[in-house]
Amino acid sequence: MLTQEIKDAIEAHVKYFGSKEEALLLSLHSIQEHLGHIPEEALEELSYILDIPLHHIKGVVAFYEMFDTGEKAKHRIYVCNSIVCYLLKSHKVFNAVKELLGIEPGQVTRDGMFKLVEVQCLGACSEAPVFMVDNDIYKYESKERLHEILAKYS
Amino acid sequence: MKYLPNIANIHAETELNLLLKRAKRKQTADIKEYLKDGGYLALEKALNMNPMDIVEEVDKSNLRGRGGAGFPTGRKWKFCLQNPAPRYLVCNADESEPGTFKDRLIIERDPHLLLEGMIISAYALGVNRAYIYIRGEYPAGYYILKNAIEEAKKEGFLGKNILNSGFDLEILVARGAGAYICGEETALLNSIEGKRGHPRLKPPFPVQVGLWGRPTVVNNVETLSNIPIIINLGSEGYKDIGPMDYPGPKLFPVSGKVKKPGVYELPMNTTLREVIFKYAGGTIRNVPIKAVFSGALDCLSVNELDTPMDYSQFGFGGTGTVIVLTEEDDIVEACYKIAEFYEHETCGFCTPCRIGCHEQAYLLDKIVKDEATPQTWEGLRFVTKYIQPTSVCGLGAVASRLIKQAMEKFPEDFAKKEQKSFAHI
Repeated sequence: MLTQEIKDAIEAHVKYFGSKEEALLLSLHSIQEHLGHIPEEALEELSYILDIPLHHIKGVVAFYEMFDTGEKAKHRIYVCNSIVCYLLKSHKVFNAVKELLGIEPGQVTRDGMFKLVEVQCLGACSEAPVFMVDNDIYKYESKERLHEILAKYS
Repeated sequence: MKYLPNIANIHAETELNLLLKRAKRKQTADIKEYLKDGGYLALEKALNMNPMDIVEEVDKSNLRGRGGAGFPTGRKWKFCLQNPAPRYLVCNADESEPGTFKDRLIIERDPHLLLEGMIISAYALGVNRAYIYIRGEYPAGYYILKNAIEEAKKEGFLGKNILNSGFDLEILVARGAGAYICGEETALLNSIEGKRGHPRLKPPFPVQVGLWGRPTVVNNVETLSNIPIIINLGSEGYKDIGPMDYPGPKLFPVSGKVKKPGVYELPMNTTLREVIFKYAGGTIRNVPIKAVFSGALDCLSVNELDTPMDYSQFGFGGTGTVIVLTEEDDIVEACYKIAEFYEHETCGFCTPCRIGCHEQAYLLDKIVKDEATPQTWEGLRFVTKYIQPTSVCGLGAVASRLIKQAMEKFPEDFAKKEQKSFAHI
């Protein structure tokens, strides 16, 4: 399940911190980045590599919102629906994504390319309404502009 | 660097040119630019000082925490120094309060200011291993900080024997994964240790028993970024900035229905009215202001616009967050959004907060949708009263604060909704 590339990344995290426990969160980030989600089998392998009990790792994965054990998706669109974005009409972003990709929050497109995730404050409120595609933050301007941005990720 | 995520296009202005000297531009200042501006000179000066003198200087400067609680930084440091080494320094970069985006600006655009502040603080505290815990939603910041640390190492500002002073320090960057509670300092420490971000019971405080059981100072990004400024100006010079009681530059993230949202660096004797009208350009289409939310913590009415932006009344000196709502916005609906935020972010560790935050959002949802009965209102008044005194950590303590304030300050808006509930008896 875990490719050599992921194992190398995990090893690098452990070396960086000099601690397997401190490397856990970053290892989970690496798994999700490479696999598009965090499958159960990956956690078993990770538990073995880091020598951390599987139940502890599962507890951690369930706690942090960004870790996704659900359906695999190549890219994630995080749309902020916190107070400031809400005041500045974040529903337009959800509607635009739905129109373009046919997905609601929590759903993945049929081709497995995008998952729409509703999140709390992304911390760029002066640009509200905002959304993030994987690691990049954007201001929502129009449906056309959103289409252009998403095209870059396909 | 293989690739760098894009940084936020946030507008920034400064009257003081201290914290935002470089960060007002929409790009990352690298070490060359930082050095050109006299960067790391404060570090050189500090390394020639006695560590205790630095602590004294910070204490005398009256610097208070910029993360929300506003605890005096010098006092926190002194508490920590009462406990034996090894100690840790942790920078809290888990800025997750709604409407708060000031730390992001420093991290993404002027990372070396933060690093210099951390190195000086670590030297003063006798720390050899420091952490920056950055929230998962700031991936660009994560890569920028890691890159900046490499740059600083190459120049000899980090690593072994910094500038031939015999002082060693490494700074490690840890990443969160989407949990507001991890901004609570003890939850943050648990998260660094690879655990769920549950808060710990206090006391003992982190300065006594912190990361891996060792004495730990947890300071906010903006707080640490003030340290080089204090060293450069001296505590006396620093106290000349702004009012006597609350000196120093302060960042105010302004958002919502204003013409020029962004981050403003101002002294703390500025009033809320000035921030909104003089700096942020007033409201969109000049619609009258209805209310101002300070993050998800406080609700102010138009009668309170002359509040100074300091620690006195509403704690604007903490995060300084200003969210402007106008007459076009529904206050009850906005309260529901705040309740929804806490429902989403309660960590589930203690029962009053876990159940209370859920209940509060559920009841407000009914009220917003006009499905409420008189019992709904009774329930809301009950739940908002009891989350605060019965919860373990600060999240539960504030979960109902804004909503209760809004109910007191906008009784007619809530009364209108409550009237409708009688139709459902």
